[in-house]
Amino acid sequence: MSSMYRKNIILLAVVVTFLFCLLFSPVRQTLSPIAYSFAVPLWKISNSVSEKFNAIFVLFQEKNELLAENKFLLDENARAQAMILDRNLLAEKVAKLEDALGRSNNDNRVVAQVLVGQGYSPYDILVIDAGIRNGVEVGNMVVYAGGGIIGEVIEIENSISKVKLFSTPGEKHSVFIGQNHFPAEIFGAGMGNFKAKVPQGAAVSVGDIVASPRGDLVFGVVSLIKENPVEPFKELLFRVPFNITEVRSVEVITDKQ
Amino acid sequence: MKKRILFTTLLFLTIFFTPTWVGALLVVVGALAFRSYYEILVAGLIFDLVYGVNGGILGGSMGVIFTSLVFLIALFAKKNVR
Repeated sequence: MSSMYRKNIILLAVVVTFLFCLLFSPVRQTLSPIAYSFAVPLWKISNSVSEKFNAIFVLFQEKNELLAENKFLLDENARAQAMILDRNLLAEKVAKLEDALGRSNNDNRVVAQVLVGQGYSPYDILVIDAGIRNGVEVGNMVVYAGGGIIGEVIEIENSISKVKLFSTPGEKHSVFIGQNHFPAEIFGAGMGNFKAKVPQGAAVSVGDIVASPRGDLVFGVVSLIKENPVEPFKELLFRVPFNITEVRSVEVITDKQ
Repeated sequence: MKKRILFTTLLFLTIFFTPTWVGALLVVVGALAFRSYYEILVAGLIFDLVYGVNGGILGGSMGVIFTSLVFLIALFAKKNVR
């Protein structure tokens, strides 16, 4: 073994050990804001440049204009679908509340822009531009279009937060499915997709809404049921009712009452 | 030296502006093209600080682990090919 090679190996071991030490809290919590002081302005410039570039390009090409308009309408449609689901749930909820004699269901929300979305990181997180100074706390729920639940705040800085997506592979959540509020556990399958296993006899069908236990936030709509009569369980597949890679702004529920 | 500085700047910018696979590709290319390319380890650290989360996948150290492995493999490869 040459001395140069041995020296490189030893140096690598020392450097890697040092880097791992830096990645442990609280050193990490000190270094992260420094990294973000560079990253956030870069992301904001990048987003603004790409928006302006797209705007100029569309002016000169009619075909591209139509494509952009089509994209916008598709986005709006996805957003509207999510909002309709939310409204349906709210209407149902209001009816129940009227029966039970009024119980307030207000929450405080902070609107945040997504600085970095899905696809830029293998960690399945969103980086949003709201943090401690906006009243965001670790554990706050993050929703899109009013009622489409996306994830949960797991790390916060002064002006940014990291949101872990509920659809991250391995994540497990309790939900109610459909009008009969069938209780189930769902598992993240990545990129806004979920899986669940329910007993064969469960009254669940394609198109059923998958909602949070409180019934006010929507995880998605059942899109496929895989069943084999000889097995005791059937598998449900569903996804969030919007394109998670194109989410540009979200709402953080800071104070659920 | 000039090439190395330019490449490193490009590598650091890809962390913020491009999907992960682009940065990963540049890390591999850089490790093979330059001698003792320790800069990739710093890139891995920045990546983990920006995107990683405590308790996340591989403890939020995916960048450092990946770049260390690439560095080590490149070191072995260069030694045996030479």
